[in-house]
Amino acid sequence: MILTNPLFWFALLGLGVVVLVVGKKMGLLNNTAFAVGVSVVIAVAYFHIVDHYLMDMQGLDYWYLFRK
Amino acid sequence: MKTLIGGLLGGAIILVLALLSVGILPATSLKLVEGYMPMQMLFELGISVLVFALMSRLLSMGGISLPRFWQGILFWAFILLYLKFRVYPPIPFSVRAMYGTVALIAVFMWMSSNEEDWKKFKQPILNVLDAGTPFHKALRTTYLIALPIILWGYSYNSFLPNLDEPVELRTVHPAPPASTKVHGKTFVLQTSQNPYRVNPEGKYDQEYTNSKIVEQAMGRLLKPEANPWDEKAEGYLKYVREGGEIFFQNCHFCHGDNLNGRGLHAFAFNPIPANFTDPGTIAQLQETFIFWRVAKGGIGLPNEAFPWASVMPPWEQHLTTDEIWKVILFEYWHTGYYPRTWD
Amino acid sequence: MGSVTRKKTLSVIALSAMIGLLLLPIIVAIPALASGGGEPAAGAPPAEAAQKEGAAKIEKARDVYYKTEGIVSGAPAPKTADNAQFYPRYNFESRVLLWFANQQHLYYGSFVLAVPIFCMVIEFIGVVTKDKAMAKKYDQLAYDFIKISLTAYSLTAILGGILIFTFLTLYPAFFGYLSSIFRPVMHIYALMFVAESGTLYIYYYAWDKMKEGLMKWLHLSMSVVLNVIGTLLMFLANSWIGFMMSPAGVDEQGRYLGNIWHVIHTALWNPLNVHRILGNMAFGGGVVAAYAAYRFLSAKNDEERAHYDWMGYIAMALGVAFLIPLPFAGYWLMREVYAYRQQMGITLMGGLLAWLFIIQATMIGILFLSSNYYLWQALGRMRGAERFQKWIKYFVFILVVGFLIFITPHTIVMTPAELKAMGGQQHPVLGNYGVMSAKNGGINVIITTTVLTFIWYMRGNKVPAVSWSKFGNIFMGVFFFFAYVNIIWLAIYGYYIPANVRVGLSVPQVATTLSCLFFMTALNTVMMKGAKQLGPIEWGKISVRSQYALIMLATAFTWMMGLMGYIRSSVRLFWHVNEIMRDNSPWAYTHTVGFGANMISFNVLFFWISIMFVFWLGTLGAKKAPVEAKVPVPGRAPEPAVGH
Repeated sequence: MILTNPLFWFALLGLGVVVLVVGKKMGLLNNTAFAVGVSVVIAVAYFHIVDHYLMDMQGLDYWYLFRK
Repeated sequence: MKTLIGGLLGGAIILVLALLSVGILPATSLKLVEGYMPMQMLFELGISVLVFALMSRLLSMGGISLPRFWQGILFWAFILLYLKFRVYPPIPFSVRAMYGTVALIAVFMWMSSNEEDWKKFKQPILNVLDAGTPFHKALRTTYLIALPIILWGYSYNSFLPNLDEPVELRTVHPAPPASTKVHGKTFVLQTSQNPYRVNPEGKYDQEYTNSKIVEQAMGRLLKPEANPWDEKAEGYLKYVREGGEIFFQNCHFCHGDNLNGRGLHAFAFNPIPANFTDPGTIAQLQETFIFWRVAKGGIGLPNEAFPWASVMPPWEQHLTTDEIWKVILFEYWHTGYYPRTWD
Repeated sequence: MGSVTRKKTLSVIALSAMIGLLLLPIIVAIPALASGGGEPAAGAPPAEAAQKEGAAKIEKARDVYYKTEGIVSGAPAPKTADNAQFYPRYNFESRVLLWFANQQHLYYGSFVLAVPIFCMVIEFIGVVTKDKAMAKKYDQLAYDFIKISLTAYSLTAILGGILIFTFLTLYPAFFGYLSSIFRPVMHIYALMFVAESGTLYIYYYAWDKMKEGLMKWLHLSMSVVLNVIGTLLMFLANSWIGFMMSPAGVDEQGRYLGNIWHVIHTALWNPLNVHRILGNMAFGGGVVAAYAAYRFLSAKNDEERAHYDWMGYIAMALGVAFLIPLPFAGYWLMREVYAYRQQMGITLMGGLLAWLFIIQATMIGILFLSSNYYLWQALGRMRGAERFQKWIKYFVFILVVGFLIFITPHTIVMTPAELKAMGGQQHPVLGNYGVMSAKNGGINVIITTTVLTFIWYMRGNKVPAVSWSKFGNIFMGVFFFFAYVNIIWLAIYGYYIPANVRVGLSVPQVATTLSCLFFMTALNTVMMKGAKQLGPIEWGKISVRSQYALIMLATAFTWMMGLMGYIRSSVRLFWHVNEIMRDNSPWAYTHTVGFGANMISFNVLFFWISIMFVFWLGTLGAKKAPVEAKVPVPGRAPEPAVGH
């Protein structure tokens, strides 16, 4: 599953940041919908990365339940 | 209109709780969904708080506002009643007392969070103390008479003979000794290993055996390639099967055929036998701890496990060391837990 | 002009010489340390040569912990018996006397170790602050801090003396053994004490003389030296308790094997060090905050109230800053305890002492609740903070739910009738709150909420003025929302996966909390640059309840410290030195929870009464100028400390 791949979440985080930068250029920063969207993407991706890598560091699998 | 909606919303919750309290609605009629209970309770409480906040807002928009003081008192009462009548099976008093106290502190923190609210909250109390109006004066006099009577009743009650058994503070997992001697052989608990937890090459291997245990997700499922009752099962799985046979010849009468501590004889004991499917028992212990407990039984418990409330026989008198290790292997396999390790 | 410069140079040189002299004992001691502790090192090579023929005299033994071979160079641990020779006694429980002496020494010791660290930080802030008035204020605050600690310092020394006498009179055999093991570093400890007091006195008395320019920096660096010495002192003291819990550097009979570093560097030494530094800081912050609260409540005018309000706030903020990492340091210590001896860990967490841990959880919860409460009250002194106040009730709800889960016991106290009604040891709903997975969720929710409260506090009277403020606010809200979701999700997820994987979940949980702490406070700071002020912070215009919250905070710290010390000490059960020297006194049993709690309360009460005396002493000296200047209205009774 693609969801269990940390690279996917990195990509999502990257995407969020890129969109944020683009949005900033276009002056969209204070648009509520845009701000919420970008924030959600960044926060969700970030916390998945945190979960994945901090479990990985201990030699454990964060996606234990989902791999099956 | 808004007033009506607000009143209805909050009223519905209060009505349900009231019906539960007086017993018209049995506690079990509102199901606590198996597997989701803890979150359901928190969710219900959270929703209630939101609904009450909304109700208070809508009511005050309609010009009816409940005084701060009563908001606080009633909310606290709500929590107490919720814990007593909503949650089943009944929560022991010690825990309810703890929760109630914390809830009271929470109400205080809420009421005194800013100066204005605090003044509003204090006002009714001060009114009674000042006794400015005849009503308040009467109320003050009533308190003056009622308080000693209540205290008297309380003292009287506490002097009545109590026939309940005393409360026991039991140590569920006493600390094991550093080593234990079974059938003439000394096992150091820190370093000993289950000799049957082996991979096909016959080496001790946690990872391999862990991959063969029962799936423990929603319900327990046998892994297709790991069936101990397969004729051809060898090594680890064969030992699990042998452990299972020993378990069902000796242990299941008390610990239950589902290993949940509810066997045939379980309820003759107080406390009931250990529930292995509970994440708080074998799942958080080292295999050697289980080995020591099984071998030495209730009478082998150390001093600190007072009051030694365990009737488990010392199984070393009935089983060989190998059999004990195999039973343990089976228990972990069946419950889908890993023994605790330190690396 | 020239003479002034010369004077300065001279005094710098004199000062450096002084510091050098103070540090001399340490420097002199280092070679001895490096070679593995005084005597054996000096004596070893010739002894080896001489004993080629009589090899029987050299006995080698194995280190109980490091498993290295070493030359036996000490007597075995004495085997004591219950008699007056090993345990001389008054007609009273010796252990309780020792407990009392030890705990009081520890309270004062940690106080005087923590306060100079605050002093250093605040003085540094004062030096680097550009705003002159503010800088002066900080400097004065640091001076106030050190003034309090000065009296406490001599009390610490006196209590240390009392402690040693108690040891010598009541536990001579044990103390003799311990000091024989630590002989190579015993004098370093004493000399460092001398160095510490010397530095402290110079630091304090030279405060006014060294106010400007280079001298100020020199003064500041003196505080660094002071703290380095203080910290080393504490590390050495920790090595003794570390040795008692997890001995190393000796063989099975307790004979010293000639390597003092092994004796000091035991399995639990470093976790203890970290835990104690953080604990001391939080404790020191709490005590100073309580001092400020006391002065606030007894203040006679607005000016004083404003000053002590501010002081209390700074002390609280410092204390809480160290409180937040404290649970994680505790977690590390616990892990090391488990790794060292499983049964020790079980005795602590699941066995004999588990009930004390429930009490401890309650205390931790109280600490966080009081600090949140203080910050909410503090919103009251800012104009413009009113807009936040109506949301406080939801914060209370979240905090309290986290707290309740955190303190739910795994084994519930109940009558047999309740047990039957429940149908088993575990309650199907509450039983799930009693395990680690839920508790970790609970405490992380509490800490995250505290962070959120703090961010609100920082925003109290300000509105961000940066061009992207709307995005910033939304991002912050979303980030916090998902942080909560992640913490709660991980707590729930833990129930569905096996224990081995589950224990690992606490790390991402903690990381989530820390992410909020670091990223969000940083983001907030950036957003608050050049923010629009809605109104001033009116120092002193804070409710009296907040000050009681500070006192509560400090009391909870003190109580918890006493409790944790008791837990740490009693986990050795009937050992003086774990598995090496047995405690054969009649008091080698574990007290009941009730007795322990009473004893801790007594210690706390005694500490607070005595430190009140110290505070009072501090006010004696300071009163002169301001009070005389203001002639009180004759016949007017002193105003009671009422709020507004």
